Amino acid sequence: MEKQQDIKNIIKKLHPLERRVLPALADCNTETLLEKTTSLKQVEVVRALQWLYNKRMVNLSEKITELVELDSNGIEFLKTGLPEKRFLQALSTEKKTFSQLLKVLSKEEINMAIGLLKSKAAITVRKEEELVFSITNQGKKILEKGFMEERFLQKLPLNKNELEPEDKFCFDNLLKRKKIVKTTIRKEKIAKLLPLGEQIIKVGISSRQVIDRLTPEIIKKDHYKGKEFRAYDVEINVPKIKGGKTHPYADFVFQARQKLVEMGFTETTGPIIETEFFNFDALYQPQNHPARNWTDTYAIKQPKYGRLPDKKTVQAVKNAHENGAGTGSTGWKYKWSETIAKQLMPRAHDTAITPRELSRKDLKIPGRYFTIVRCFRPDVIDATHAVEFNQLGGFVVGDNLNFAQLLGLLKDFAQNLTGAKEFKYFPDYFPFVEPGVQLSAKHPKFGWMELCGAGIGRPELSEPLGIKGPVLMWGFGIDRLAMLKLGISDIRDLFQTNIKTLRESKAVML
Amino acid sequence: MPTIECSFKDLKKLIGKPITYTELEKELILYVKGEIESKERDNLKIEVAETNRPDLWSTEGIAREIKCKLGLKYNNLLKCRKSGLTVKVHPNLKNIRPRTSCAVVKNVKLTNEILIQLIQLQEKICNTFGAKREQVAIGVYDYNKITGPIEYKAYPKTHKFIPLEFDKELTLSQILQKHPKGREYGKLLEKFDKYPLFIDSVGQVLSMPPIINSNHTGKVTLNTKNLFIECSGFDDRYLDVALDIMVLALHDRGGIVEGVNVDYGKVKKTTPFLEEKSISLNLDRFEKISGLRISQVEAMKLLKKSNFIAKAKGKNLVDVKFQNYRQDIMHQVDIMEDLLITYGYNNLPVEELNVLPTPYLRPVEKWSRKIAGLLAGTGGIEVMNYMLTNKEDLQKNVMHNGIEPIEISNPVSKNWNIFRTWLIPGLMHFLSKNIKQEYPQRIFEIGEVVLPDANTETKTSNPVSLAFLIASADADFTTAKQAMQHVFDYIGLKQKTVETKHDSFIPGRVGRITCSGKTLGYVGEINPEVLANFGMELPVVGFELNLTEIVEML
Repeated sequence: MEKQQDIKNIIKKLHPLERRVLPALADCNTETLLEKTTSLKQVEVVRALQWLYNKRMVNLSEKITELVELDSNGIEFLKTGLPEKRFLQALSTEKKTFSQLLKVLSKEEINMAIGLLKSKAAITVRKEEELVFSITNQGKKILEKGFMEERFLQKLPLNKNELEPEDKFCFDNLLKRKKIVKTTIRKEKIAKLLPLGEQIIKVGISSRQVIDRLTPEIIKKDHYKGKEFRAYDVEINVPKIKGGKTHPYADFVFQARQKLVEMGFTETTGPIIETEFFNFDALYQPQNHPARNWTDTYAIKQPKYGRLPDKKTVQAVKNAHENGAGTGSTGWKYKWSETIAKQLMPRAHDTAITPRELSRKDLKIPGRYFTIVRCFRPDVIDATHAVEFNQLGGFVVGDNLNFAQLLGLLKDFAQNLTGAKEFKYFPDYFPFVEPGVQLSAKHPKFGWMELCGAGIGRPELSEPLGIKGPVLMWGFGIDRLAMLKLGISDIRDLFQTNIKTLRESKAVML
Repeated sequence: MPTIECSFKDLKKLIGKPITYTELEKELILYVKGEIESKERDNLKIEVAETNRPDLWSTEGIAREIKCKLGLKYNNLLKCRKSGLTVKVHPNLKNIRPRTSCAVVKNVKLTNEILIQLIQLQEKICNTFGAKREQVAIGVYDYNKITGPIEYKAYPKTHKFIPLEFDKELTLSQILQKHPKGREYGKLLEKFDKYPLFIDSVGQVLSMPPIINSNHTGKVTLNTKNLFIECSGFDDRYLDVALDIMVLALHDRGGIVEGVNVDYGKVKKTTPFLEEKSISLNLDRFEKISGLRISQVEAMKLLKKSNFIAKAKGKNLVDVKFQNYRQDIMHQVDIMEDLLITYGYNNLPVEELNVLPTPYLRPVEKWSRKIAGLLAGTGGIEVMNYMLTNKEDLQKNVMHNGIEPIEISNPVSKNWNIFRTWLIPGLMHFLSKNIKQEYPQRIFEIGEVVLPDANTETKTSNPVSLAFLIASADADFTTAKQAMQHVFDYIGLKQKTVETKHDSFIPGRVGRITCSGKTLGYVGEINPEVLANFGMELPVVGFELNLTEIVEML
């Protein structure tokens, strides 16, 4: 048994419909009866019963009944009177010819009424130029007494199985006639009060008016003062809002940008269509050499060639390839071609931007630099390879930089981008750095993951571009981190094409 | 990056000291920049990140590196005696495949494992380092079946021999058509009218490089005692390295390496080259780069463990000696890395970055996100598309904006063969993929496009574009212009929309958006012909703006 206080709370939350239906259940239990008692519409009664059921105040069962109901003609006749009644009424003052009767009855109705009234000896028929009808005494009596079929129609709907003998007789007769009555199957809810419902009725639902929906009218006219509000079920499930949303992956990429700025980095960018010079040559990747084949690259049809930077830079890069350019390196020892270097291609990696920036005359040194850009490679497409992807990378330039500081920077990245507390450095190979290192971090949620590749730019890379000391270079496979964060297992789903998925997307927090 | 298969038992045997699998996986394998990809009983698959060190692409190579790191004795410099064999190279190979480096290895006690490794190393070198046999092709033969001297010469295509795994003679051109290897690598030869052959003094064909060995001399089995090895190609720099690595692996297995005279007529050469090289390591420079101070003695100890021969030179220098197969070493920084790896990356000092912060975010990025937030607030769903798209979406679907797109000459898929010149086609494509989804659909994208631009260094420019489309039964020009005006009001710029023509829009319902005399984009109702091409049955309206230009005006 619920406590008195709880019962009062429950009563407070009752919907106006429930407030009307629940007390009525003390006396009646079917939908039909409730409709009559409460004067509510059927749908309202049904809704209230369903809510009461959900709140375990009533139990519901279903009763199937066959109902006798008015059909289309029946509805009409109930208003205008049965044809046989109207026929007799027309004769009550004087006899009528067929054509005179046609003014009040249809031909069909007349023919039907003649047979019926003759069998009851209520009329006589004479044949003159046309048929002439007159009422008999018997007919007058019938008219006075009223038709029992009409009384029957007025009582509808009735339960077919519970018809009185007289009603049954009327029903059988009327069923033979066109569209006066019909039977329908009706499923009706039967409610049985449960202890909670009974308790509530016992306590009593105050008839004091409670405020349901707060309207401007109520506010303006102070109607809420001294009144009680119906309490709502705050645990209820509500329909979802359909609003606009930014793209989770775009949000992720921007958050990565913000993180890098918070870490003191300057954002840079570069062209999507790049010269081989910056994509490879200035990174000390030899032409026509297996070492340049570490990735497949796209080529473009037109335009074929771009412009190279200033002569001094080009010459220095050429020397680095051919003889080490006085950096202490042997160089690649081959004839470097300016034509190959001038060829245009879609940027294959974010690192193409590093030599571009390093060779800029107005580059601020010392400085921390980063970029997030799309890169393009003709890979075989699968769950982990796309032909187009984002890379996050950058470099730090300044005096007295060293490998120990690079390791420190990587540690900061691990902490800032993944919240990792554990991390490890692994020796790794990237064609333009030496020494090369890879940082793996233990992500609090996803476990150990390769996070960042880095190294010190080779002297053959940095010195020809006019940079004296070590340049710290680093890069992230940011798409992998994004996939983990967005809960995506196929890289192609980063560029989602289903609007439903985007409409339902969740917030990302890097 | 190469993946090497090897037997753990074999690896331990070569290292010569019992090691546990955990030691290998957690520590030792890092010395070759490796990672164990899988372990199935005794079989390991090891991914080696060193794409520039073919000497590590075998059990022998991995074992050699680990052995030294563990401080075990290893004979660092390989020496070889003479075999007396000569290979005469004919000048008619000049443009076909003119160079070769050869060696003989005797007393090889071949086992299954050694044979598997020999073939694996040969394949890895040819495929990765040798650019799929173009730069380097390697042949291994039963030396006892060969009668020297050997001639390397181009022969007419009608010449015949029995290729490996065949039982009858085929002409050289038949081999290119019928033999699986001929079909795979034939394109390296088919443009020539003669093909290269190695032939011994009694006329036996050894092989047709870079395609296939003969079935007789070129078949190596467990019974083979002595081996002849040749590398063919164009550039001795690669051939010598490839050959040195092959013979080094066999030397580690107990084979005796012998030199071969390669006779080019006027010029003669003895291979394997096994050239000794040296670089001076400056310990001050080392400290400056690494942040680690070590003594000369300590440096020499670490260098020895890194498989170098180290000699002190003065106070701060160490003379580091190594052999030709370490072709990756060009500068003392390459030695420094090996030294640091031996020291252990996780034992190195870690310091704070000694560069003051220089925080800066490009305004166009800041504005992009601000505007994305604004458009989402109007019910827009942000979309991200690839920058690569296809001609069809741009042209067949009447989505051409009059700008010739940059086209990929080697696409992997016809879905991605040009760069987008504007965003609306991609958004239309997106709508066409969501025809069965709930309407209205309001979508937008912000991203770079690629435009031809003769004035820039790269003949292209990449402005950031902003596009917004609304697909809805009641969308019209007003809907589109309202959304566009909303953006301009937000950023505080005044735009003027003037009448214009654009095939993608309905005539009379498209406007050119301008500001201070500059065209910034278009707004209008998408032409029903375009809609039909995309299978759309609802009106679509929208606009596209050059955000880079707009941000520059602010």
